[in-house]
Amino acid sequence: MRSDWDFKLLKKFDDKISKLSEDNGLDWFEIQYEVCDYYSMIGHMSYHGMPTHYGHWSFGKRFERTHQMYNLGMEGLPYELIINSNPSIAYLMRENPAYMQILIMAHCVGHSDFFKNNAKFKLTRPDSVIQRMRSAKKRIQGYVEDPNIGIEKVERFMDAAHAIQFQTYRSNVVRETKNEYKAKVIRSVIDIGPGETIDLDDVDIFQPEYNILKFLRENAKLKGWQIDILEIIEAESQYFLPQMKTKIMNEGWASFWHYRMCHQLNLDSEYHIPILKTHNQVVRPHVGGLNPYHIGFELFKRIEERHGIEECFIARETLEDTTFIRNYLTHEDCRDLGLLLSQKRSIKIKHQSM
Amino acid sequence: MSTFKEHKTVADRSASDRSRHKKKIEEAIKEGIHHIVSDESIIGKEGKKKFKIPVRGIKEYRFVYSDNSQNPRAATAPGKDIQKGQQIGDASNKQQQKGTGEKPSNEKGEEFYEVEITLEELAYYLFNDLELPDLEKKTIKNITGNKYQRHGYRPQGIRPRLDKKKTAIQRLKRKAAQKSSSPPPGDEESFPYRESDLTYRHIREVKKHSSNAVIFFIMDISGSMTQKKKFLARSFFFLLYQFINQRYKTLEVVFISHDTEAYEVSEEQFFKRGSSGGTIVSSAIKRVDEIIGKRYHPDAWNIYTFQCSDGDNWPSDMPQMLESAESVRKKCQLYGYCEIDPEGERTKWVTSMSTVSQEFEKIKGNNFKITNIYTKNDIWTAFKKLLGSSEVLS
Repeated sequence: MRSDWDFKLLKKFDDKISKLSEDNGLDWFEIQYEVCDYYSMIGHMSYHGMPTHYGHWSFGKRFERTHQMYNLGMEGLPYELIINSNPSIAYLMRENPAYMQILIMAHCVGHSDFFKNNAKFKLTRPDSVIQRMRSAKKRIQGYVEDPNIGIEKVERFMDAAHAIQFQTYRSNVVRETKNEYKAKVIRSVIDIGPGETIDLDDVDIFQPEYNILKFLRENAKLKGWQIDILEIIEAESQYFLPQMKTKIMNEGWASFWHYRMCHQLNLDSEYHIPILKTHNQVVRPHVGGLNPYHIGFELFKRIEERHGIEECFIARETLEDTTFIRNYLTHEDCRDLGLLLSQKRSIKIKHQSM
Repeated sequence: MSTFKEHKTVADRSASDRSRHKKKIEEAIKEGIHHIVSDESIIGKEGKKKFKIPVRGIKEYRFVYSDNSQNPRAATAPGKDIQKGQQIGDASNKQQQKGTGEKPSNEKGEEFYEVEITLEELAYYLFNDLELPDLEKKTIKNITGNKYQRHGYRPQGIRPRLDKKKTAIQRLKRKAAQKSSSPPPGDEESFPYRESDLTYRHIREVKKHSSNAVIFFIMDISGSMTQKKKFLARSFFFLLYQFINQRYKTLEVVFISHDTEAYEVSEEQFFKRGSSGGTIVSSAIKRVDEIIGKRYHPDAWNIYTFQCSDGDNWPSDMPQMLESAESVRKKCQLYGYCEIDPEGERTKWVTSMSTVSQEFEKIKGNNFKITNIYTKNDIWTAFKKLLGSSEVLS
């Protein structure tokens, strides 16, 4: 079911977009576009877009759900799916028309630039993420196949571990391990000079720990494979947390650039008008909820108006959603964008998913 | 410059995770299935017919933000000029629902899957952990049929059973052996297969043994069996029948319905026949005794008897009934009696007449079980009590 485009057309527009992006000062990972059908798309979506990922029944559930919703027409699929890797892998759905692919490609460059430059992503090691995911998959598969462990035990443990998946560090600070801390404490006792005394009650053998995954890894009586699974899950959280913490900025930045570049491309109206229509769809406010595309896009636009484009680049490099909003969102903006805080009295506004 | 490529269609990547998920759903079905056993829609259905049952989605447990109404939440307004303190929505409709339902309904809808299963599958889920108790090994065994099983390899056989891999290995072995003894005359290319290389899979006939078992179903079809009672009895037997069908392929079933007289009937008649007349329970039990005597010698057969009635019996028949029941019980692995008493109807009647179950209480013996069905929700409990695991038996 090939529609109104082919690889030649994609390449042609990709060249233009790449050129434009360079001129605009974007700095992104090479993008590897893969054209797939909706079924593979749902497949990848179910695994956070990762081309390879360990298996767990919850991903099967996610697939079923999305597939059901899609077939019932209750939910559309996301237009674009790009992962933070080097090269960035992005999926283009075969069913989408040409204008959509152009829009998506412009959008993806924005994302890839964000992945490459934002400070939050500095420790995500995009060069090796695919290999890491593959290795995790193999290891977990190994535990499943191990006659001493088996699927039941692995699943039970993973269910539990998933429940606390994000009870881990939320920032990039490198922390000392339990052993390093222990060594430090011991040294502080050993290094007492002559004549000095130390009150052992003052020595904290344990330090408070809010990374539950780490705490369990280091202190619980776990088997080797269980510790490994905790590590895999924690590593995955660490990989995805930056994306969660920069959702508004990331989508805002990508929308900001696709909007800008689609103008700069001087497209024919056959492409330009549907692109504008789609763009407006994407960045429309979600009444009763928050649309990260809407807020991000509007905010980057305002930053450019107020402080110039340079400031936008600084923001994309140094901030995350909370600081981004704290630094730039003004009271007027709130009014303008219709942002509010609501509280239930006997009144409640409708839930709507973002 | 980006690269483009056609996505390699890997084999459906989520297939295995989906099947694990499906398995979880099946477990959920198993747990929740007892609510639907008494559903009218399944009674009397053919085995292959599919019907839908709702199954609650399998949850992943996560920490989530609570839906605390005191906490303000950020959102986008429908318009631009919203004033402080303005009402922006109306949840009153939902609040009403909250009052009527058992659970507050303004929470996120729970996920439900509609699962289509056949009666056979349903029976499988239902009866998986139930057994017919005390299936003794009797002296004579039934041979139910022959099964063919793989049994090693042979140099002779028919073409379809030729094992190519083994044959190739055989040839390689021969080649290696020849090389070590006398080096071949240079021509590496031709080393043809020999007749002796050919290896065939051998297949053996296995006889399958199984125990003899016969089940008697006795149902009261007298006039006192109202529509409701008959429905309950039928549901009960239907379940039992499905269970037996699913479990023991080689088992014989005898259907007996009775009013003042007992009739041996076909399965269809048993479930569909109308009712009239008085009740003499002993007639049916005697008939069972007779049939056992004629066709199913207790030394060779495992015998199970299940009886359903509303508890009414002609008072003067009681002693006879007891006597014959005792005699049948002795020949049986299990004698189950199920009294149907919809919504305690009987208690409204102040009568000096004792019920069948009260009489049956006098029968001692581990293999005699009495159970009651009041509403359709009890069917499953009664069923479990009769066929349940060792905890009931002990």
